[in-house]
Amino acid sequence: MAEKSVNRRLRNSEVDQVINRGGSSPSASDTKKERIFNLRVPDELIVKVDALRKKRTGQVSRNTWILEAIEDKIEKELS
Amino acid sequence: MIIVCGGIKGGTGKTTIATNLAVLRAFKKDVLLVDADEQESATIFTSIRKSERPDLPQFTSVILRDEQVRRELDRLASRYDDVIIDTGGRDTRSQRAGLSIADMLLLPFNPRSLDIWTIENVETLLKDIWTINPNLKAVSLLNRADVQGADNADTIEILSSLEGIVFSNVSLVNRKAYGRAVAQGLTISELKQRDLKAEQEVLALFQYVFGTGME
Repeated sequence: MAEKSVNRRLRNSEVDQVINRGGSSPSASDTKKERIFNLRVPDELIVKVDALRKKRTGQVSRNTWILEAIEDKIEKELS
Repeated sequence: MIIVCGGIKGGTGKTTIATNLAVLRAFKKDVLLVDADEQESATIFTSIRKSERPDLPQFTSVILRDEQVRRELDRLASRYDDVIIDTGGRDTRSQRAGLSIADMLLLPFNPRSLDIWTIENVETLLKDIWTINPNLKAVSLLNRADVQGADNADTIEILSSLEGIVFSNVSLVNRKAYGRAVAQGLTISELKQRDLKAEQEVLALFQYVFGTGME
């Protein structure tokens, strides 16, 4: 049993060595972090948004459309 | 089965492949999609799918980093039929941790010389991983292939000649449908405007990976 546990520890250290030869993932501060949350939107508003999205050239997702709206609002309030 | 969608070059289509396989497999099995890529695109895909299409089959998704990938999957993997790990386009601890416990590494390559030049580094990574996980099967496929042209054939020839990395004989062509589906949190066969060729390509990959069709 003890021998098994020593072998397992040795094996784990070998595994750790191989894994640690890889680079680290960038920390949150290195990447453009996004937050994901649920947004409650009245149905009639989504219908309007979707109608506007359809008028646009190419495919504009709801997510992109809402992000654009947020940016417009920020710009408006800051000016 | 634990599958890593990996490689050491970004932009090869790993997330597209990981999410398409996760969704299709979720029609019949319990699937865990692990987002081990710092860009977290697989998590965004899952979030769109869950919020906009809750009526469709869903899978579980978690974000894991570095050694966490191995540690948490040691505990979690047995609760699911299949685990699919999406990694970033670099030789990271996250990817290595996934590979240390995986059954299969799926390596998408685009038919361009810059992608092919990374093969040597992939082989070096694999040699290291095989010392701790000798049963890992490495499989390549051609992704974002040209509709026609010599580049596909050249790349397939190189991929077929590698020792230790099996060429799956699956090619996914560069089609708009893939981008459209991912942006909506859908797999290719769930698109309203169907692309039958793309559907066939993804099904061929599914069949190769899981050894079974969707019937």
